[in-house]
Amino acid sequence: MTRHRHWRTASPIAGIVALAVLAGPVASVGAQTVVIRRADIERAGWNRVTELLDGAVGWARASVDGFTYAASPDHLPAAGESGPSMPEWIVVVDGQRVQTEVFGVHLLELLPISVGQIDSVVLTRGPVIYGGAPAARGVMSIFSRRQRPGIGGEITYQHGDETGDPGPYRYTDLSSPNVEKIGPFAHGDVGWRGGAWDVDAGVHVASLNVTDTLISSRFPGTTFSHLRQDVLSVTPTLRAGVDAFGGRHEMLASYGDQRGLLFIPTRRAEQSLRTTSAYVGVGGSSRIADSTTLSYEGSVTTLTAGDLLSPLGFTVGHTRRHFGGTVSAARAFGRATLTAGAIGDGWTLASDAIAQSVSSSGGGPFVRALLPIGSAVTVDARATLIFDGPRAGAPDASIEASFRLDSLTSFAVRGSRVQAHPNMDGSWIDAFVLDYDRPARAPALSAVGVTLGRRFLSHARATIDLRGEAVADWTGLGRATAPQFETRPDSVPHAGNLIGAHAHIETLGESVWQGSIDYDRVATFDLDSRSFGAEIASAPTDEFRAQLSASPVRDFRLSGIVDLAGGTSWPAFGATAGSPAMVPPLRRVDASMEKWLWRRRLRVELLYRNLLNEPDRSHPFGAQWNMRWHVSGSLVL
Amino acid sequence: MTLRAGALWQTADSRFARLYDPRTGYSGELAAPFYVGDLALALERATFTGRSPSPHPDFHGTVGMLKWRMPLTVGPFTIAAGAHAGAMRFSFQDSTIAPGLRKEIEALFGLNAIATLRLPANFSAFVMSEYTHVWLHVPVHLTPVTAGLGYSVAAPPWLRDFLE
Repeated sequence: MTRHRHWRTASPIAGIVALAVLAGPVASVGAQTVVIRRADIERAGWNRVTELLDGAVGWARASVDGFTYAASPDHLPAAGESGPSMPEWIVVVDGQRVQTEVFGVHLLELLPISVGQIDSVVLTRGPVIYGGAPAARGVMSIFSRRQRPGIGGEITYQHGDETGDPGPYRYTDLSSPNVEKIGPFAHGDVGWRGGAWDVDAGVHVASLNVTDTLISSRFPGTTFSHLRQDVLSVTPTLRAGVDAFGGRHEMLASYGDQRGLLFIPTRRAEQSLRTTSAYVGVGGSSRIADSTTLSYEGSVTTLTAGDLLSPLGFTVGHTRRHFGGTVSAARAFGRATLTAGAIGDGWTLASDAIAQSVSSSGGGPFVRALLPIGSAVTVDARATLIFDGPRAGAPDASIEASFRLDSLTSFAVRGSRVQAHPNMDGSWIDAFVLDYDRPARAPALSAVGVTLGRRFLSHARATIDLRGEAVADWTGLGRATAPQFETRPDSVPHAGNLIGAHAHIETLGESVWQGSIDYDRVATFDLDSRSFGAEIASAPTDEFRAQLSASPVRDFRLSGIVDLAGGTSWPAFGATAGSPAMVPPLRRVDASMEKWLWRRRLRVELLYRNLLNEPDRSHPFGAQWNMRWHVSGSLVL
Repeated sequence: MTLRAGALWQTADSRFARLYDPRTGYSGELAAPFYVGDLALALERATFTGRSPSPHPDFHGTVGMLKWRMPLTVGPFTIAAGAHAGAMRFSFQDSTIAPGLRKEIEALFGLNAIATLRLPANFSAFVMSEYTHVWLHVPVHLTPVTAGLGYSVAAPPWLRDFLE
């Protein structure tokens, strides 16, 4: 971790779970994990939660505007290449599941947490069972920092700009379009902690221009000039916690508001939207006997997509409400732990296009057994039985055996099978609003994998993860189609297999030099059709990320980051059949310089992204970013 | 720490020089020892006038920079060379373009060197030169030369406390 001033420390629950994940493969059942720590966030200069996906190596991020992202953790076809009712990865904040997905993209700026409040993020690829919840694609689990005793707070402001303006050449034949200002990205919070209680109120704000010519030129005539030229999100948050009843209990609440163009991948076009998300959730655990712990989590989310006045035809307005929760009891039997509980989720959709609201629900029991065998082996088995709406109960399961080969080396082998539960996870809503039929069968994902981890050179660790995944009944938008605003393409069910490898090396502890290297590669075999392979090519085959930072003197840090990713091919976004739209490979180098001032109360950072000025783009309809620079300041109160 | 101010003359790359003529400007900087070498915050400003026969509208160029230099002192003379990064703001004197586009800010990188001569009473004289690449769509290269006076003063305690 960093040597910076921590005015907060990780909460006990967050710490326990994060440490469990960091300690090795014991907690990474059926999946490969990427861990983003506070130091990673600072040296990368991330000041929006969405930007954390930059560190999710292998998650195949894609964005049109650079503000709102979709991601495919398992390299299945990206949003827009997949049908609108396919399952998505889930987001968890301090153990509470928060709904962020709309039309295949995730509105992470509306989360009830800002970057400044985050201690670490664990990104787990699916299929997994997470806290009793089946997650077919994966989990982004965010752990917050806990406030120090007394009153404290933090304010951060970042502003940036993209290079490549015309300057004085605007008056000549060498003129070019004006390019983006980036930001401001700002967040602040103030809180108090006393005795068993703590409370924290904050707000995070982000704004980004969307005037890149690759976006504006897709609109006919002068339409774009009548649209909002930026995306703006404002999200106030409130957090309260108490240590009581033998455990910790937390309440999170937020009201996020995002305005501007939102690209609907399945439509291959933007809508001018005001999207609001009201969230209230609780979670916690209590030790009710010497060997028994009761845990719970529940939340209500109301997400509304409304029209911003614009010349665009508005067709996706709706309100979706989610309510859900889990309750479980864990009891220790010697060194073994058995957990049993139940999960339930419900959805309600209201829209101008339908006379009455439509509802769905699903849920069922789950169990988990954590069984140490001897001193070197641990078996972790999880299972759920989900009754998804009117469907009969469908089981999901995962099992992992981890072996501590010696004090430096661990090995794990695992398998899992999780299927989508559209009534429970609400994935039917996107299809309903976008006027698609629901697939006859929900997709099922099965995975096997092995992980070998070894610590070496006293302060470094290497992990190699191999995995294979079989997918059935995946819906792709299987024909190369045409232009934007065309009628929707047909949905085609697919099946196939993917194999992948992920290598990770990182430094441990505190030293002058710190860094990490990640490499991820995915390949396919035995696909049921060539079109499925063409759709999967919308996710890069290879991704590489290396970061190195040096703190040669106290309170000063220099960092460099290299990101490489293969080019991608998008058949559903091609201009004509058989000619997919292409996205060039990513070759990006970032550098930052940080200095702490005023006895570590103030941190200033100068950050350059894409120093090589290579094409930086993740979507065929998306903006292409030049080199850009950011200046930020954080004041710790 | 040392405060410096001076007059600034600059030349531009030949492509840009065919369009604009930089007038004499001014510059100032605040320099202080860093862990290694010196660090300086600098500001420069000059007006660029369109060249005949069909001059483009004038603009003010304001440059803000963070400079790092490695000094070498010999007697009363000190020479230092290093690199700088910052941004240049173009303020166009043109009412025909949209108000939101009359000001542009663009990143810049460059190299710089300074020669100083220590004078009595904490004063010094200096000559400074830079080579700056402004990262416009069509890059602009500027080579300013500044000459002026500097004044060195002990940093007040509150500033030392702030910088630590």
